[in-house]
Order: sequence, then structure tokens, then C-alpha cells
Amino acid sequence: MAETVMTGEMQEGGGVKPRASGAQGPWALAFRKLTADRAAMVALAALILIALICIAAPLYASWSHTDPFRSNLDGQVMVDGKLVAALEQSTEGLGLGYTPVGPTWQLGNYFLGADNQGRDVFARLLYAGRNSLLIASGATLFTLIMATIVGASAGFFGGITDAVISRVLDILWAFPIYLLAICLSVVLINQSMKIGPITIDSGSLLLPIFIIGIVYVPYVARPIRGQVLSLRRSEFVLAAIGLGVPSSRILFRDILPNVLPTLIVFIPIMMAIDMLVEAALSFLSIGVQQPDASWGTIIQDGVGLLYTRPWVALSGGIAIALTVLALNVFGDGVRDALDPKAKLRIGAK
Amino acid sequence: MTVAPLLIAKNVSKCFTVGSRFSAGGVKVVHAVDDVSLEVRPGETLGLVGESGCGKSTLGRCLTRLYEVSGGEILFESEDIARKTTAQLRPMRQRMQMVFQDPYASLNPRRRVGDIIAEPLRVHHADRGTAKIAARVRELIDLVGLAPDHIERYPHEFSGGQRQRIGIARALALEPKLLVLDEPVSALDVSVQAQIVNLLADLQERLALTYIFIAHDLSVVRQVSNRVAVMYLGSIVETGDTEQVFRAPQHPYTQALISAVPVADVRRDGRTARIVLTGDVPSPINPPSGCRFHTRCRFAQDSCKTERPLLTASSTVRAVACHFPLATPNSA
Repeated sequence: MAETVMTGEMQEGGGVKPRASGAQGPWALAFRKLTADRAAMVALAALILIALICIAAPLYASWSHTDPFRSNLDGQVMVDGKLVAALEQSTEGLGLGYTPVGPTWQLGNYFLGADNQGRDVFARLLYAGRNSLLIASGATLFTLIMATIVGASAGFFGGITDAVISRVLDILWAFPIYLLAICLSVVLINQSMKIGPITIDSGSLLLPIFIIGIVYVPYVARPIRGQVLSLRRSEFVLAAIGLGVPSSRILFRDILPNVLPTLIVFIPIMMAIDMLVEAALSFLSIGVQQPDASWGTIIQDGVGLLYTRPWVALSGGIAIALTVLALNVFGDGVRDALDPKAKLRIGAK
Repeated sequence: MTVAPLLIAKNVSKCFTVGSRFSAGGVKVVHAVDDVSLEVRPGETLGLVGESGCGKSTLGRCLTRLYEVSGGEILFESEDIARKTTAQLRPMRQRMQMVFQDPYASLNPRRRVGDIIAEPLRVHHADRGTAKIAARVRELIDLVGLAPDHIERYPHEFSGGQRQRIGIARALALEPKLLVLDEPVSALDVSVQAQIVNLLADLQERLALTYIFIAHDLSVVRQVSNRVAVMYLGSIVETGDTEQVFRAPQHPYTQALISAVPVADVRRDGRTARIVLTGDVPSPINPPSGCRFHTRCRFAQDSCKTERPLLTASSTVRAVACHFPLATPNSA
């Protein structure tokens, strides 16, 4: 019975072929799969381009000598070699109100025209992108960190901790997302908020980040909890327990690294969703506050000009649509690369 | 027996609860392991056999204290480990290890093989330093028949048999005395099974290990174990020397189980009548009264339905839990 051990075991069931280039870890494999996904790479390139253009907003503003945050009611715009008032007396209908100048299609010179404050819409669009991207990233980060802490605690400690956390999440979950976000915004937007030592001023971008971040915590925390729960019962965690590995080490070495792919898959999906919520809140004037801009406020600026100067609203809408599309396509690629079996599909309800 | 047993289980029970107060039918109790007593002597292999769901894996996990025990005592090297806390168990863990059934689920997919094997060393012997731990990992990799360049690889790059070798190396890292092997080969191809069985036998000889070998494959158990314990519905129905139990089973259930083993050469081994059990294994939520096996036993009589037979010694090494044990060796 106890004869040699080394009998041809290297041939067993499609074994390992020696490879020159070191070990292929799960991360390296996922990365290779992602970079081979052309749609995802195009989407990523588009996202990087959008982000870079938005980050360069101050450069554009100083180059085109425009201040996108100051009303410019009596400014003048050079159109086809003639100086035109940025806001002209309306000639349509009853002749009341003003019509801002339309798109000149010249970069650096009211490319997309002016809004009803006489401000350069294109410059504002770039600044708005900075805010929209910042809020979406910030809210996503907030959601993921909170959801990981909450979901992992519930799943790992179980018992009463799990019961309390799960019920709180259920209560949050019971609210329609937009209704909850609108309620929170309406209450918080006009006053500064104090969380312990941190004070958030009413005009601060941290407010929409916090509001949008918090409403999605249950949607991420639940799957995380479920995953931690099943990982805690997996054989490799049992093996670690049997080896006498302390719980904290099991949590950080065995469980959380296996949750990380799910979290990463959530990033682009959550960013897309957060961007839409932010636009909705800003459109309702309870997100980013004037004179600051976001793509949502630009759409709102454009609503009153929809018949005369449609490009104001359209530009904001197109910017949101393109960015969200790119995020979703990239998100699909990330999911396919990291977690092909996952059925992660969450949407705003 | 002159040598003191390495592990003694006395009346070990394990109950699980299913459902909640709010689900239909309310809370139910599953008696997965019910009043099991057994002994394991140093250097031997005790085979633990039974159908799927009879509680043999649960028993293995109770003995290694991966599960809390509902009742009874577990004496490991004369120390009762059934009531110890996680922290108190830590020193004991070094002397008792487990190898799991599913080599795909028992290795963390996001850690390198070297890290997986080094984990117990890093936890228990952090003072040894990284160089010594790395040397020990290489030693273990070699011991289980893997190559040193496998250390840097991830589990997904290995076949089932190789993964099981990694699991064995991890279990051996702390130089345990007792290894609980929970169906270590049942997830593997037959050809690979033989390699792993040979490896285990070789390691047992070299390292003076004691095994509890849990399996449902009787031919494997017959090959590797010195003694067997047959489980049915959470209880041990028969124990004894492997050859004796296989040649002359005394419990009707054991007899049926053994008759179901395929015979390689009918002319040489003789065709024994196959005893086919009727009915399903009763639910451990609501086990039958009296003898647990009476619902499927050919020889059941009225007393079997009311009185539960205890595991009583029929000779110095045999014990059977049956009111009417099968007497003569050659009856069938």
C-alpha cells in the first residue's frame, strides 16, 4: 500500500504546464480579460477623455476670458465679426424677457451660446462635469465603504448584530430611492449639517455626496452581507478556523479579499446610478446649488429656453447620457472580467 | 489495549436547528449526530462509513471542534475539548487537523499556494521568522509530492488531486498527531484517488499519524483502515476490525452496505446476494422510535420498534447496536 508517491501525478487531469511568466493570479487574469474587452476599453477611453476635459475647465475659462459663475447680463459676444448683446430683448410672442445668444460653434467664444444669465454655457458645462463626476465618485466611495462595513459586520458576526443591521437596511430599503433622496435633500439643503466633529455647510458638495451615498447603502450592503455569510461557511474558512487562525485574520485574509471583486464590479454601476440621481436632484434645485453648476442644473437652466435655445438643455443631457452609457459599458466589462457568474443588476426604483 | 487512546468521544451529540419561529412548522431540530461514542488509538486508521447525510462529516467536524458540540465529551490526549472556547482550543489545534472533501472549496482562491500552506505557521509560529517558515513550506510541498515552483501559483492552476495535496500539506504544517480526513478522495477521479490514498498511507508511516478516515466508498475504507465504524442516521451501529466487519457483518445495515460494494472478479470472490434496502433514510428531524434502522430492516421485530439497541461489545474488539445481531459468519 505504502509504495512510492511520485507516480506520474503531474499528468493527472489536465495538470499544470510550466510557464515562463510567473504565477497568473486571479487579479492578473481578470485584468487581462478586461483589457481584451474592446467595448469596455473604448468606454474607458471615453470616460478618461470626459474626465480630462472637465478637469481642464479652469484652463478653458481663462483662455476664453469668461467667468462662468458671474451673471453677465450686459455682456457682448462677437458673432460673425459683429458685437451682439449676450442677452437680447425677445422678439417673439409678446416680446417680453430676453433671449440669450445662441451657439457660435467657435471654441472659446460662447461655443454653445449663453444661458439666461449671459454666462458661457460650454464653460459651465465643463465646470458642471467636474461637480457631477466628483459627486458621483464621492457618493460611490461613500456607499461602498459604508456598505462594506455594515454588510460585512452583519454577515460575519451574525446573530443580534445581523438582525439589527438587516432591519435598519430593510427600513431604508422600503423607501423609494428618489423619494428618500428628495426628502433628505429638502430637509438638509438649507442648513448646515453636523455629524460629530464634521460640519457640512449648506452649499457644500459634500451634502449631495452624503445624501446620494447613504440612500444606496442597503442596495450594496445586502449582497455584501450575503456573500460574507456564504464565505463564512465555506470550507476554506472552516479550514482556517481548524488551523486556529484568529477571526480578525480570517476576515481580512480570507473573506474580504473574496468580496473585493464584487465591490469593484459595483463601482462603475454605482457611479452611473449616482450620476443620474445627482442630475435629478440638481434639476429639482435640491442638489448642487447656483451659482455652482452640475449637468442637472444646466438642464434646468435650459428648460425655459427649450424652444429658443435648445442646446443649453441638450448639452447637459447629452453629457449625462454619454457618461452614463460609457460607465455602463465599462461596468459590464468589469463584471464579465471579475465576476462572470454575478447577476448584479441594480437600478433606481 | 495497553496504549491509551488518542481520542475518546463519549456520547457526543450535535443538533442543528432549522427554520425560524416565523417559518411554517416553526423551529425544527435535526439530530445530525446522536449519542456517538468511539475511540481512536495512536497510529491507527479508523474508517467512518455510512450513507450521505448520516452525520459522518458532522461528527468529524465535531471531533475537530469546527462545530460546537451539543452534548457529550471529547477527550483528546486526556483533555476534554468539547467545552473549550476558541482561544483555549488554539494550542490543541496544532495537534489535530482536518482535510476537507472538496479540494476546490477548501483553498482560498485569492491566495498563493505558499501563503495557504504558510498560514498555520504564521499564526502559531510567527516567532520563527519568514526564512524558516519558507523553508518549512518547501519541505511540506516536497512531502506531499508537489514541485517547489508550485509555491508561487494560485489554486485555480491545479487539478483536484494536486489541490488535495495542498490541503494535506496545510494540515501537516503544524505536525499534528491526528488527521481527520473528511472524504478526502471522493471528489477525485479514481486514478487520482489511488495516488492520494497511497500518499496518505506513506505519510502515516513516515510521520506516525493517526487518521479518522471518513468515506462512503467502502472499498477505499477497507483498503486504508484498521478499524471501521458504521454510521446510520447519526449513530454508530457497528464497529470492529475492518476485515472482521467486512467479512462477517453483525448489523443488518452493515451487511446491506457491504453487499452493495461491486465485486471485481465474481468467479474468484463469489457472488454474494445483493441486499437491497427498501425505502429512504428516515429524516433526522423526526427519527424512528426504537432502533433507527427498523423501518428498513429485514429482521425487524416488534421490540425493535420500541426499544433502542445500545452499542454493546460482542467481543473485545467488536460492538454492534442491534437486538438481533447476525450470528454466523457465513450466513447471507
